[in-house]
Amino acid sequence: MSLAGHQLPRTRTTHSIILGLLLFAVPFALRSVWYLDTGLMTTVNPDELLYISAGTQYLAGLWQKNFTAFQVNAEHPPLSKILTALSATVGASVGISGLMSMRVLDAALGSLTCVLLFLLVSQVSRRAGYLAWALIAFDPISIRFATASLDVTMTFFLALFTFLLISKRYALAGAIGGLATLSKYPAVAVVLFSVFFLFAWEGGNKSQVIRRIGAICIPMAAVILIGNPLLWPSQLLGYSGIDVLSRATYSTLLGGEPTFFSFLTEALRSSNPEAQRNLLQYFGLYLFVFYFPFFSSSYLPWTFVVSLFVRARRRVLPLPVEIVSLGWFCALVLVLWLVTKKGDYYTVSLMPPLATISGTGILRYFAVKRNAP
Amino acid sequence: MLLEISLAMASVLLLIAAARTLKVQTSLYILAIPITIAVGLFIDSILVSLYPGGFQSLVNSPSRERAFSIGTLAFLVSLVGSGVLTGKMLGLKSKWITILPGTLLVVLIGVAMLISILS
Repeated sequence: MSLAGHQLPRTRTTHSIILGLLLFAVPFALRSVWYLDTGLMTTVNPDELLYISAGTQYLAGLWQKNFTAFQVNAEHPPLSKILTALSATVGASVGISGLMSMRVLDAALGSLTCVLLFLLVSQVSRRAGYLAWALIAFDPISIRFATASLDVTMTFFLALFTFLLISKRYALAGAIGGLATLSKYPAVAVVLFSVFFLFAWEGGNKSQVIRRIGAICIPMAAVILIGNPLLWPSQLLGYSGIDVLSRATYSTLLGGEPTFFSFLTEALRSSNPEAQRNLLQYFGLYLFVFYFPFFSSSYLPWTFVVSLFVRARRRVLPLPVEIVSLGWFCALVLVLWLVTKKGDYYTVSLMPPLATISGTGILRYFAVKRNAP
Repeated sequence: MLLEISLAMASVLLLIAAARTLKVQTSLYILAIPITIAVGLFIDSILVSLYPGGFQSLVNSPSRERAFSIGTLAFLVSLVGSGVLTGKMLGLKSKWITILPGTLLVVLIGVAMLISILS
């Protein structure tokens, strides 16, 4: 092999490493500057302390085989909290507080999500990859809510799942989908929607599709069952994990803003016609009037909507990466609508599919325009 | 919950039957439904934010009937618009088919409310 031929792969690898580091370092720096600039170094969200405490208890419980620890904060799955506790342990060994370790971890996961998005969209074109990366790296919502620990962890694993799904590594994608679900439960809807969307779009013979779905869902189910002690047999736990999970989830849903189902249920129970009419009107109001709070906080929702209109006008059919991103988008929007979650930080997980569809849409629009007769 | 699940399953079967009748690729047609609803909700958010005072002002309006009417109208417009958008984006053959997912969702909600009132 010639010297040039021997050097070329090494040069390419070096360039890739430098590029990867840059793609990671820029969003990481932005999120770190945000922490410093806004005083987040000293401001504490009570949920952050809860997750550190819960994660520490989970680790201790696993070590001592005392599984009652998993009853703490049972409405959310354990993985993100365990990672937080591990980062706090590592941080403590070098003199960093648990809170700072958690924030460094969240910033790192958010930055890795940006890198994954670049790798994912680069499969369409390199320029689209850079554009999607820039859209998510500089997104104000992704930076502002970089400390939304559970959502950021889930988003990272979902981005990795999407990359593996598009790369046709179905079993590994399924396992990563399981890890996403172990970070926050809505991920299961995203995984199922993404899989359905991709295979409905691509078509193919039934047995092949069924095999692929099995290759994804079986590892995912296995990871979820093994990774969440609340789903283990009660003989092992010493209590019913399913009961604990059901109660915690139910009280979380009821404790928040009323959903349109709750108004419908009350209307069905009421025997007073006037009260029924009022409750049904509230049902309709909550069903039809749903407001996403991020249109004034970020450019991504707008680029997404414009991208959709442009696609429809030019009849540009979606690519597989765009179809899977649409599945991610639809799943989360419908989940947020059904459980009436209007908090800004819930939209962190919506940003990657918006960036993907915006990035590919913008580039493909200009490509179509350039090639138009 | 049983009511909602039953109606959802009935509407899916109805849509499949409609797709087969109109000779549309069924899986693509079923794909259009969640996209239509999700994008419709997105567009609905934009329309609602145009209301004077924004979303909070609409929801806290002293006239609940007015708020309900405005909200329903915005939702219907968004859903129909989203249906057309989705149909073109997915390359569905007939323009009228793209309106069907949104129309059927409205029918679904209307039936649910009617059953609620009658019971």
